[in-house]
Amino acid sequence: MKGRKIGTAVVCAVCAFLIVSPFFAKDFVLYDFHMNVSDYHYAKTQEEKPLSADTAVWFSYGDGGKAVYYGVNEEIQEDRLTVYALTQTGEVSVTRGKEDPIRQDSLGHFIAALPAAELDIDGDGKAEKVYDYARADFGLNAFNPAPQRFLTEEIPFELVFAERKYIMVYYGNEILKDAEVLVTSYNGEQKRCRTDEHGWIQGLTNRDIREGFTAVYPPDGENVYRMHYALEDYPYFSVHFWKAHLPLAVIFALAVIGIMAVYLIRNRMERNNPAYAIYSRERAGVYPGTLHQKTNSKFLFVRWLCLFTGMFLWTYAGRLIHQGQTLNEISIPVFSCPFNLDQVAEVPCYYLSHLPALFGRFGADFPERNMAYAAMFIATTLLSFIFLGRILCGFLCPAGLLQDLMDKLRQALHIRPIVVTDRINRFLQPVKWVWILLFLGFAFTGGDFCDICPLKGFTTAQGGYWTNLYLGGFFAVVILVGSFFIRRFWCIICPMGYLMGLFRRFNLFRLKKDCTSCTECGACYHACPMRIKSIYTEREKENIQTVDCMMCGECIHKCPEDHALSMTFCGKTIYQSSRRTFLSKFSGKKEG
Amino acid sequence: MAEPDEVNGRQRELFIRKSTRVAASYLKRAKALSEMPDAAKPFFDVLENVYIRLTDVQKPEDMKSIGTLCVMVPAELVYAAGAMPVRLCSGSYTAYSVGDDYIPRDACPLVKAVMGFGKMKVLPAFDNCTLLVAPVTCDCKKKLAGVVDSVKNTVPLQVPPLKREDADTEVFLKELYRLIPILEKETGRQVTAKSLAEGINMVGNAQYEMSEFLKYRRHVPALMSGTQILSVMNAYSYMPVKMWAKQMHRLNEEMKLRLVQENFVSRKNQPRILVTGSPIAFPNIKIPLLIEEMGGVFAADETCMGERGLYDPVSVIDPSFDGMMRALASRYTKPCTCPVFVDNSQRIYRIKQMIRENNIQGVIYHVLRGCLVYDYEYQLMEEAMGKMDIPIIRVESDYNEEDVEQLRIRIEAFIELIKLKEYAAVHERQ
Repeated sequence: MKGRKIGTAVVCAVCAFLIVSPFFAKDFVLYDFHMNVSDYHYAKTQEEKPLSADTAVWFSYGDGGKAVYYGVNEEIQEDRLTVYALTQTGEVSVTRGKEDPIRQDSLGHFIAALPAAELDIDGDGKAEKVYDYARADFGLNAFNPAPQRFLTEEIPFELVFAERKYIMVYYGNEILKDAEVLVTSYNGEQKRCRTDEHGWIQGLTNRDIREGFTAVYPPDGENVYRMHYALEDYPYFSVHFWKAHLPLAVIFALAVIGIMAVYLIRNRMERNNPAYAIYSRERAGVYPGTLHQKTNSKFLFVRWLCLFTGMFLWTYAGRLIHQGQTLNEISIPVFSCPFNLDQVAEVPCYYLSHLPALFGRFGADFPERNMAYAAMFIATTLLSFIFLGRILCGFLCPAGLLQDLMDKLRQALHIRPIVVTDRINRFLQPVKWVWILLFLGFAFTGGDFCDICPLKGFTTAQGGYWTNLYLGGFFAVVILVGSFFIRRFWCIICPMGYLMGLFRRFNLFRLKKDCTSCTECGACYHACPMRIKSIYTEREKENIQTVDCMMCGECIHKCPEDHALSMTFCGKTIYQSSRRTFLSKFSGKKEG
Repeated sequence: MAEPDEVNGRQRELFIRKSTRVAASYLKRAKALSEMPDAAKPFFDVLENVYIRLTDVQKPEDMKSIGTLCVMVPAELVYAAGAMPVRLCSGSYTAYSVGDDYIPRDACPLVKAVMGFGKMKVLPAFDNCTLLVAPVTCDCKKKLAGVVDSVKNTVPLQVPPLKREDADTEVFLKELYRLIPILEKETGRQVTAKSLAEGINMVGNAQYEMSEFLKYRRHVPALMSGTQILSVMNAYSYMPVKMWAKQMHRLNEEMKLRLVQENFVSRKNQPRILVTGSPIAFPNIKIPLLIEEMGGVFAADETCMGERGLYDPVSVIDPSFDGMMRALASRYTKPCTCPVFVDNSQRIYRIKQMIRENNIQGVIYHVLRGCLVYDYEYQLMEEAMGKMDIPIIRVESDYNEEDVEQLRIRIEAFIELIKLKEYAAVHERQ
């Protein structure tokens, strides 16, 4: 009784902390990259002119971070250069020549312009007026989803990076609709692209945006506007890439301390417990390694394979495969951070946790575009929710892999887990509800769920994206320590997982139980990382999938009864428990 | 000076003569039922050694034996401590009549038999046990654990009467942890993670062989007499698990051969009967004997001296020492269908499962006199069987041969009833 009272008090305190603390999330700084661009430096590049630059001026970012380099053709004097910069106050600052444009209040958006040159580009023997520009977006603001426009008189032609994926074209302070622009790709190839009714350049790859391209637009026979654009982007294994891992390293370092603390505290507590006294002295953490355990389950192998694939797809795929093209329109619900732009498909967590933004934020800029995007987003998210559901948690989620790896690490270190009894599980439920509340509702209070999201720092950092971690970083430490001792600790309280589980009735993958074959031995319950108890107490229904079930198949793997538990896909059994398979590990014969 | 409990020479001789005679006659009857597989002989030899030749159980010299009662004592743990568990639940009529003097009249005969052997000290298998681990299960066993302490060093093992909450399993887990130092002190060996894993592997191997064997048992027509199978299962109590598994493997091979050769011991249409209820411990195998002598097939049993003791395997989730202990605690309570648990509806489900798997046509519900917990559950069982249209009778018996004729008539009538029912069903279809 006393234990229960203390437990209730602790849970209430945790929930209260979870509700109040997000409002001060920014005050808990775990790692901050100081994304003030004023400590960037500005210099002339020593590198060769990139293939993508058709213009006489271009920007590059080096590979070391915190630097922006400009380059001009040799025949042009540097002091003819004019650099425009967007500042925090909204005005455009202008600097000329070699002077450093990076001021204290710069946002990180620069356009360099050269005076018009008389050149014959189209080869008709008549010289046109050619305006050359280069644009650079760097720092954290580079990935700002809202379009950052200069719209000054001096720069009639402008390329704007918007919604973290698209390039839109402005001409004469207006969106350039249905026009043809000549694009020089990152590899120097030229192609003709069109802008659509929203001014977005069609047929541009992510790689073009990252490694640089030039867009040429001749509005009439006399003028030609050219702009070179490259987003601040660094190759893998560059200094910038490794620097992005720093917050991750901090999280892991804190997690190691946390794990050691929990380990020591537990040992100390158990030393005083008469029941465990003898155990903790001599046998703590001993894994014999001689126990016959069947590990070669095809199903579980596939699951691990899928998990690693999922991690790859949602962390590196965008950059490494298919010219950096990603399925931007499709949203697949896994818990990986959308701040990593390389994920193979969109993740709904950003918009689910920023519901006002889904319809509101870009509405003013491109209303139709936004509605179409919202419709596509909602449709794909719902389809995934309905037809796939939580199998994505068990098979694709990078956060799930992370937790499973922590569990494996624990086993490798011969540290035993904390067993989640149904009492502990009951205490975790209110925490889950608070997370769901924060996930869906925090945006309406003007807050940003990303500041408290414990998983923000993982796939982004791995993908080489700089992320600042506030309160969420500390939660990440808690999640890591938790998942070290309790497998899939986060999944028990994951808000998106819960939402996905709501549609389990329509899932194509189903977990079924043949109640007549069950002996209620509880092996499934103990194997379940989500601690679903009804799986072994259920004696009537065939459908035992609960909102927590993520189809990891552990219960089936550990079930000793023939076809008591099975997983079906569209009604066809794909994996089921078998007594023979279960006991064959004890048969004394080698399998195979 | 002889203690008042001590039995003098003549009485002892009489006791031995009577008890060996009963055991021998039942063994003979069991062997004579049908052609016994050669591989089953070692199991019968073990029973013969224990009950007729009065020798100790066969085991390595340096291995101590630890007595156990009920199915809740983890054999894995005893093997991990370097000892051999010997199930002391006995069916000896002679020991029962001796125990009658020490145990109240209404207590169950099994408890009396255990007490009888404890007092007589004629059974080396019993007497060589240096320690008795007695789970606190039903009322009779609970009080026995207290009383038998006077003749044998006894450790009561608390079994929670409820098992749905994790806290209940934790209670049993702590009991098992408490048992470890007691076992270690007795054997002088350490229970290490390695030895526990070895114990789980050993028992797991026996369970593997048994699950293979059960597949043959399910075959219609039967490949081996059910009474003989029950004797094989009973022999598990007196054999080191490795040896039992080895012999079981041989038996499985012979079963396979029999299946190929279509060497059946029953006809296809003989009524297949399941026996459930109070334990049927050797030599009290009169009910299975009667079933088979009256033309039924003793096709399956849901009793703790039969399949139940070995059926459920240990499912280790986390292979740490604690993980293994938790798996043991879970395996020895959660799937256990012993009626001492408050809510035991799972026993009905288990029997339904067995009826389906073994093509059962009738259920005999065995109640030992004074076995209240099993008697309690008869009502529910009857209801459930009624819904399934499976005939069921309750037979009450005691540890003596006086009720045999009465039982014979009832069982014969029951078998005729099943035959008639089948006949009617076939007739109707035509």
